[in-house]
Amino acid sequence: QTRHNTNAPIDFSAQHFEIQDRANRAILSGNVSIQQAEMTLDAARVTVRYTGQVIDGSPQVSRLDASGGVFIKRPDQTARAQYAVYDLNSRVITMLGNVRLTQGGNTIGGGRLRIDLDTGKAVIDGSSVGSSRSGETTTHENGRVTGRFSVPDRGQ
Amino acid sequence: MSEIAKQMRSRRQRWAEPGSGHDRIVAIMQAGLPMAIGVLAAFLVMAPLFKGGDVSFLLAKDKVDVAKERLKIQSATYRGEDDKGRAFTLVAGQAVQKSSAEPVVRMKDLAAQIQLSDGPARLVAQQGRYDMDSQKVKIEGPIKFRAADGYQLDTRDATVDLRTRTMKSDSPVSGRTPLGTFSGDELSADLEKRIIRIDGNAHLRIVPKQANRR
Repeated sequence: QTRHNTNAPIDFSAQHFEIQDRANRAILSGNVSIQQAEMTLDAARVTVRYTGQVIDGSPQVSRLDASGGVFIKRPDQTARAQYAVYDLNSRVITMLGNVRLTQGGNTIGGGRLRIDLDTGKAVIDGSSVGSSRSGETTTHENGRVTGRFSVPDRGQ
Repeated sequence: MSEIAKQMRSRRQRWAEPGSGHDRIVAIMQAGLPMAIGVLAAFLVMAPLFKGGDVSFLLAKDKVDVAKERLKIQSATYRGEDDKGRAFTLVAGQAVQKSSAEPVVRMKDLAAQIQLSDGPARLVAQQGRYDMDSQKVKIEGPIKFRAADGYQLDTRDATVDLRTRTMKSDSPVSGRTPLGTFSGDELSADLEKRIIRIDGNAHLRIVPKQANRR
């Protein structure tokens, strides 16, 4: 699993977007698709938060919140969920709401997924407690993690 | 004395006798010359009054070089007030107003100075048409917006409303802000609140600053 470069330029494309410089954020809506290095993220709405002095050059993007049918694709990993938070500083993607991760033929489902972009390690757990950003709370699912692994046949 | 000398002397004596030709000439001159002086003086005094006829010339209306536009100003300054009553000035290298009927002034290399809540801001463009009634500048070509604290917005072909300090463009537009470069079909920006809204296949490209960790 190659290490994802979070400092690569990020390309957004959407139907609409609004840059609110005073609030240091940009809101994109209308089948947003984000491309950074070799990772793509598609969602209905994305909010980009950036911090730091924007004056002396490019800003420090700190966080991307995606919601509404998020689909993340990486070279050999694809993940699907309702919400996703991509924290560029800690280089972790957290996904919530009936997550389905497929990696090399195996699919795993669960409540919450945490992908560490440096090591490519994906941790799935069942608890999807906690209210989501857009206000309505996610119900606590039965907390199970399901998975289907394809076993390579060993020949004889 | 010789014969000739005698004839010479007698001719000169005849010339000098009273009533000779010479005397007649002198008598005529004595009366003629003063009269000639008088006539000349009268002529000189009266001449400009009568002779005015041939000095004037006919101004042919169609052969004169007529200026096309009604008003051409070299370095023009237009002042106005935005809706909060703060003054703005619009300086143009050259401003041409086609006719007094339409209040639109075509301007070259114009600069607008507007007041925002956090200080003055400047907007520079190469070409634009300023509508004096609606106080809107329809700009063709690149636009550079610089705010007091260094905030920048570069875009092109937009209409700037100096009264409400907003910028709108309905043709495809591209530009750059500190956050990144954007492009899209329609732009509407509020320069005061610094909100840039792009509609219609909007693209945004952010190059995050190199993380200062590690």
